[in-house]
Amino acid sequence: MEAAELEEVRRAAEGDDRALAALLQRHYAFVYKYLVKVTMDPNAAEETVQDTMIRCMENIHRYDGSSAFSSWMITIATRIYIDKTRRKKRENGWLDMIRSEAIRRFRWQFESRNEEWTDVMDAMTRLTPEHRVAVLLKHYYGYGYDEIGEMLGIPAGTAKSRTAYGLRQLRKELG
Amino acid sequence: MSRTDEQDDQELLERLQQQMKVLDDAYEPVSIPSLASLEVQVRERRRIKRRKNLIEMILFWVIGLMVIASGALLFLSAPALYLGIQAIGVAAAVTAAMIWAGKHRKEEAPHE
Repeated sequence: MEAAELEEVRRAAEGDDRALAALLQRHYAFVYKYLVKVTMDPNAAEETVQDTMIRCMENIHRYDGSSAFSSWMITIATRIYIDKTRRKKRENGWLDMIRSEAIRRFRWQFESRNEEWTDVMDAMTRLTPEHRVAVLLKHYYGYGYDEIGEMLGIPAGTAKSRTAYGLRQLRKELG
Repeated sequence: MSRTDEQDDQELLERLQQQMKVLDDAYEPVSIPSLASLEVQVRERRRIKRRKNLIEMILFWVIGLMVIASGALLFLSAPALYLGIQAIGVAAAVTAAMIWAGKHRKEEAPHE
């Protein structure tokens, strides 16, 4: 992490409201874009990025600087998303229907921007959130299995097997 | 893993990365909150948190003192009952911890 950002984080943790607001604003788009890929639903991404900002405000004193500030934020965003998905699954038997409706909406939005909805996108939407997150963190963001394990609160071995399983599923889908 | 499998994987990862880059470029947040509004929110959150911490601390002390006072009273008036309750409490805690650990292992298993 850059020295200037580290200094800003230190000030934020010590109670400097402006420093924390600046940090959150600078990382807002990064976290949102991460969540679009994780949720495959821009509306859910927008909702989750707001929850993430609030959680970061509440827990800034827990950030120890051992990882990049952006990594800390996407760790929080991922946990909020996974928790939400699990809670919805318990509360709502209609989850599959709601989920496929969200994916249809996402596809429609994506194609209306003159972008092609490829089979890779289709395959990604079919992965479970846990496997999609693991594949993205490893193969798009370039984190190591130890880091992914720490981010998701699971052993590194489980992170590795989730990533491998996710890739296997993608390969199968793309047949 | 054979050479072809490795090549297939490499090709798959390249396609995945390309497609995710397209997503990154296509989607921007509808609106990023202004610095001033974020600052107001941060201040408000800190105020709520301070208040919550204060209430929790007061509750902790009040309940803690009540528990200690009741424990001391019980110990003085009926020591055998007090020790019995302590033993049952420890046994219940150990059982709950074992059940929780078992459930946790089961939840993790499908992802392995």
